[in-house]
Amino acid sequence: MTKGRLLTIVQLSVLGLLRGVLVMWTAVTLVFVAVRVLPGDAISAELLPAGASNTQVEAEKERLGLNDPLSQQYLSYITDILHGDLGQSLRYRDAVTHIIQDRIGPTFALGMAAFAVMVLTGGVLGIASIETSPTPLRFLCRGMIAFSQSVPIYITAIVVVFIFSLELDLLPSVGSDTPRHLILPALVLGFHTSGAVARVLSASLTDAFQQPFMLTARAKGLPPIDLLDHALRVALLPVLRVVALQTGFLLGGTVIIEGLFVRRGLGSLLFQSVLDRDYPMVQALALLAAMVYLLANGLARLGQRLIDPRLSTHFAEFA
Amino acid sequence: MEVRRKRRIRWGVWLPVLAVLTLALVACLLAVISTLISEEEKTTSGGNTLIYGLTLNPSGIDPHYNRSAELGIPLYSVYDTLIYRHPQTREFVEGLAERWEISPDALTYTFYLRQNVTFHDGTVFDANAVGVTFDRITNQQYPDWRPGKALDLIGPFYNGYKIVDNYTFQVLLTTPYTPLLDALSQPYWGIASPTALANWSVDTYQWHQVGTGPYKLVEVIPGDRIVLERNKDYTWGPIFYAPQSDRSIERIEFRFFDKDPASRRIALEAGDVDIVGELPPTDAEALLSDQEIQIFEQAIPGQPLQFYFNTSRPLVNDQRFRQALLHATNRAAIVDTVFFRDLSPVAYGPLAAASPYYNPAVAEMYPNNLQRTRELFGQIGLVDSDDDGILEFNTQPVKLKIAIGNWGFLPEVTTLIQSQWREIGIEVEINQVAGFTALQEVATSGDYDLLSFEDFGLDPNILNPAYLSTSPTNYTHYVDAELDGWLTQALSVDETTRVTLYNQIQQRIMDQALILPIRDYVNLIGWSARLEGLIFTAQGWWPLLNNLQVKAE
Amino acid sequence: MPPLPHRVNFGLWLPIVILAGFVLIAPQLATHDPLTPNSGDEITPPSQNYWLGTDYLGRDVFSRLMVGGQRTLSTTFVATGIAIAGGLLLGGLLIIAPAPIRWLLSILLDALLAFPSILTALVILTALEPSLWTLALALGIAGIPLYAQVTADALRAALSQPFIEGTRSIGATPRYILRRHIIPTALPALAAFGSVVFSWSLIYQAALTFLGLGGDISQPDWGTMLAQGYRTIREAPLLVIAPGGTLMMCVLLANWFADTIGKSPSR
Repeated sequence: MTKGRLLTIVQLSVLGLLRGVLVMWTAVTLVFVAVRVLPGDAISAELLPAGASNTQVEAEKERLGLNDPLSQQYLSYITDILHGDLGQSLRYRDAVTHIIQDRIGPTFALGMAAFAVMVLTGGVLGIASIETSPTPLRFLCRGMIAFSQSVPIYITAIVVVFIFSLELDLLPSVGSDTPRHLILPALVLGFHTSGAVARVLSASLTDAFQQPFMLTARAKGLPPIDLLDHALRVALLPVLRVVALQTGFLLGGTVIIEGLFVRRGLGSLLFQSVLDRDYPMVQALALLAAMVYLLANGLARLGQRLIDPRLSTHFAEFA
Repeated sequence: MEVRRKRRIRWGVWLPVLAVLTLALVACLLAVISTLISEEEKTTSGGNTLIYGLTLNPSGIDPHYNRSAELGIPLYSVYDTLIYRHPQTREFVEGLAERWEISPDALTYTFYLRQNVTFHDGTVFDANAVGVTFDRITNQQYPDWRPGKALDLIGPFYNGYKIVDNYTFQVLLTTPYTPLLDALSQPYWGIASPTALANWSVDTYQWHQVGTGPYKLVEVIPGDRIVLERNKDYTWGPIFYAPQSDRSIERIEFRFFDKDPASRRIALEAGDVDIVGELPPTDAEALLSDQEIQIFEQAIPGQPLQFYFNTSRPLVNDQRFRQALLHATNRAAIVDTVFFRDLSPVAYGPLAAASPYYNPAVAEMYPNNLQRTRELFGQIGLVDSDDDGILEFNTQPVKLKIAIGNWGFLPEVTTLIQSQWREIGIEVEINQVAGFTALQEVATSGDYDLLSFEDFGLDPNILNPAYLSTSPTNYTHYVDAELDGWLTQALSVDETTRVTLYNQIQQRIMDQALILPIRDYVNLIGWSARLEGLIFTAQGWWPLLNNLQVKAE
Repeated sequence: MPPLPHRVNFGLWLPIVILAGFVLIAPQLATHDPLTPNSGDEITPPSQNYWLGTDYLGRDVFSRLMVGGQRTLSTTFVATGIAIAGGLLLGGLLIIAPAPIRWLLSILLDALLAFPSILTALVILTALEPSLWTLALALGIAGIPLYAQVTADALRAALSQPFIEGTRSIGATPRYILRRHIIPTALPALAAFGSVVFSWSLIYQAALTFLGLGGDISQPDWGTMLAQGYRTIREAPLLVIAPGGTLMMCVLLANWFADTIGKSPSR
């Protein structure tokens, strides 16, 4: 039985991986298409107003391979990606991978720290706000959840900076040099993404408590810890998924947070690149984001299966 | 059976809880570790190091190719130029050239170069080095050459250079070009180390720049930071450079405060930045009472905050209509509301009052006078026939499209213009685009009635690309052979004739009402009270970092 | 399926009535022209004349809040509508299409989901002339993949109920099954997630307007009010609190609706 299950998990992982490759390829192609459909490009935008003639612009485009036939561009795009070459940034005139390397560290740190805050805050708020918890606590937690989901992130950001940097002088207001610089942005970003996690956890916990088997368990007079055990088992499944989903929102949040806290990172780079029509850069960052999401999602699926043996019977659906 | 159930209980509660905790812990650890690993040499404010906030993230920082004025803030101190302009007198003074001669026909400029000057990488400075920089900017055969601001500056009559001997360098022209010295005094014409230029490609040199200036470029992380360190061997500075002392700044780190203007004041107050420009006026005013922060007001010569009228559009092509709109605009009220007048002057013409060659006569031309507006509207035949408060032209209600960027206070200014014009029956649609690229696309497309753009510089030849009918950046689309003639002529004549010509040019531009000027630029810089000696170059944007010092105890 | 309880369910109706009512009535409540700057009255505190004070340019905040609310909420409804319509279509196809197509669609959907929605919205937005409506379009399109996923999940869950098989075996037509069993089962989850999309669009609209992507700023909207008030947040916090608080109320109402109808949204 156990051995069989292990085997299924291995099979599932392999199949999941295969599917992931297919999905990634589709994503890569989508990005390629999107970038070609979009209007404008950084080269014309930079050179034309500078008084460059059209031939000069064309020559520059030729040099950067922007004028090749689409099929050829696609082919070299795919082979380049497989070689880990994501092209040249039109704005920075440097290898995209090099620019990403320079900036991935702080964003990774911020993302991880915010993820930790999100999971912890979300977990605590979620469990504390289930129907059966004492009313004042429940109201407090629900209020916090609502706050985290409805207040624009830049408002919270300026308020915490005002309190912790200016009034209390405890933490730096801007920069990304030391772990201390990480605290405020991670708290703000993590808090604002925790609301969704808490809501789903709380809702599915409440749900689980009303399931027939919980009634049985309660009738049997099991202690509360056992009850929570039963409920969590079921309730955790949707939470895992939402946590994976929130990684996408974390990435989106860095766009604003990095600007506000003057942090080096990929979020602000992404925003600037979209505005500058620096499409090779956008292309690479989009792929990176997709990869992170797919990884998180794959892990979440695997986690769901580990917790809940029932799911492995839906094998066919998964593959 | 009993045992199995118990085991399951522990799993159910502890697995998720443990998983969550380890996940969080690992995440935190990874976060801290990755921050620690990615640590380069860190700069904090305090002592002889400082953090300087930039307010625009230039698309590139190669002075020879890129156009942004922002890049000069760090790079003015990395390079020396052949000559300098004195910040106060605006006179030309010696730089890398000890002296210079202009031939009687004004076609040959001979520069006698300073000896015993070395680049930061040890390369010896000589006429050959100057030649390499000239090649890189002007010679289309230079590998991967592209046109930049520096090429524009040297003008249309440049005819190559001649190396007479190791320390004598000549610039040759086909026609006299008066703004030449001004061009060569700007950081876009900083002389770069030929060794470094050979080591790096056109695209990568910008991260590894080497000059002869008082500061060395030690680190660039695009869009994040630019780090300078003091060049202790520097002894060949221009006359207005203070001698270095132990209170000079050793290390300067530039960071970008471009996304959120509100963060500038907070960072100043928190001591996380020592100098930052372009403070919003409300913040500058609030900081005036802060003991630890000083406010520096620096007028910027060049074009004011202004809107170009697109004269290729129906109705806007009528001079009287444009004049009527100028009369309808209460500029003083706009400047009062948005910028506070004592921190910022009202603009009246195509050149800011702080510019040389400014013609004060334009100030009288368009007082806020709604009576005159209505008269002019009547002459054109604008009437409100359906009584909806909006005027019609040929039975079509008038609706103007103003294209602006989303930076600075353009949205506020445009909103006030919109409300002022609504009162005289003109409807305005504001097309606010995000980012410089998008605004340039609108400009190229021509789909606007008014467009906000400006350029800065001391020499009035910045007007040429904006008003010459052949220029691709003539956003007014106005064609006037006489104006073209004056603009071209003004490039080649002596100072007195230039004054006359530029007076005429400004007069004509305003007479034709080609622009709606609003406010002269004043850069509000907040800087820490522990520093002294902040001054800016004659061009306004660029600080003389060399003269900055920590105050004596 | 148990029918809804007979007593009036406030959590269901109140959010709809308030939000829709706001769109219809609010502009009539404005006391001033929301566009006219009152010269000399810049950044005044609340008074009898200006109930919530005036902003940086001297415009009446209360009137802007009311008129802006109509624009903000109606564009948010449009964005939600686009996401729901597109999501239902794609999600439905994912269930009923023949196997190979279904499989391809699910791969496509996963690929779409992999991009952060803010990135999708940003890219669409910069390709179009920016305005509140194109912002709504961009946010709506960005919301489609997620809504499609939720739709597919809800339909799958409804189909896997044991009694569906039973009903089919006693000869019920597919349409009958759809009408009587599938729709009622899936509807709460779909409606609940619809309101999640609504609050999501509202928040992201405010975020993207803050970044200067709101386009024409002539007409008021809450995002622009927030972005402009943000500059003077320390001198006049009310300029942020007023639109921010109202926006928060709307999100709360939408969440209340989601809680009531779906019990467990996002699932």
